[in-house]
Amino acid sequence: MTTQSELMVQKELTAVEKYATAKGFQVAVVDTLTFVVKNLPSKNGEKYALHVHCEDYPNKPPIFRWCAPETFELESPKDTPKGGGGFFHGCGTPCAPWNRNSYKQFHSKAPHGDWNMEGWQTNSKIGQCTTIPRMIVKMCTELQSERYIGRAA
Amino acid sequence: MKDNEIVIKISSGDDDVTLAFSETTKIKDVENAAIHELGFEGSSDGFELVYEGNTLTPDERPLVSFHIPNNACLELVATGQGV
Repeated sequence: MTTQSELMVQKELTAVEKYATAKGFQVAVVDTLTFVVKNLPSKNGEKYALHVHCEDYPNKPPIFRWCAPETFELESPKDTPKGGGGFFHGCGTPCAPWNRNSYKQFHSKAPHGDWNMEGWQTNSKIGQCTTIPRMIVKMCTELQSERYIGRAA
Repeated sequence: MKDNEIVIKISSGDDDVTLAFSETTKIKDVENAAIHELGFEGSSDGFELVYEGNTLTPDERPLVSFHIPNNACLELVATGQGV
């Protein structure tokens, strides 16, 4: 049986793929709840990949993790961008209420013990960033912005 | 197309829309038009326009002041913060 999360991901992934085609990066589907956006361009020409896992989305936010473009190894500093602003957080994960990886509820090294995953769409820092395509656009524009500096390692 | 009018493709990720504006249209009004055409809730406060990595602020300035060319592709980016 197809779950609510799978239906949501299927719908939003279609939009992500359309945007990716227009912007020249790629989407690799891993399974019905997981995909990787590859070759996200930064302002200095370096490329990055984001692993996105969506179990229990939208009840909980997706899990965004920087990864290696071919092996999908997660969160190696060499595959992680650094920069100013919260999205290039020192903890190595895009730090935002729409990333489950930002919540201590999800893992102990996450930066936010003050946020609650349930009701993440009502977090005061969320703005309108409440769909996966908007989250991907956000990260694309951050990589192109003056806040991006380079690779973490 | 009228004189002093430019055509812009605006993408939010969810969808995109192509609209024509006078060069003197304020960025805020471009944002609101795109939000309306894309059927989103909320106002321009929830989104910002980005062109080639640069956020078009302040949004009271007109398109022409940012040197946006005809047939440019802009992103309508949700304003959620990284923290």
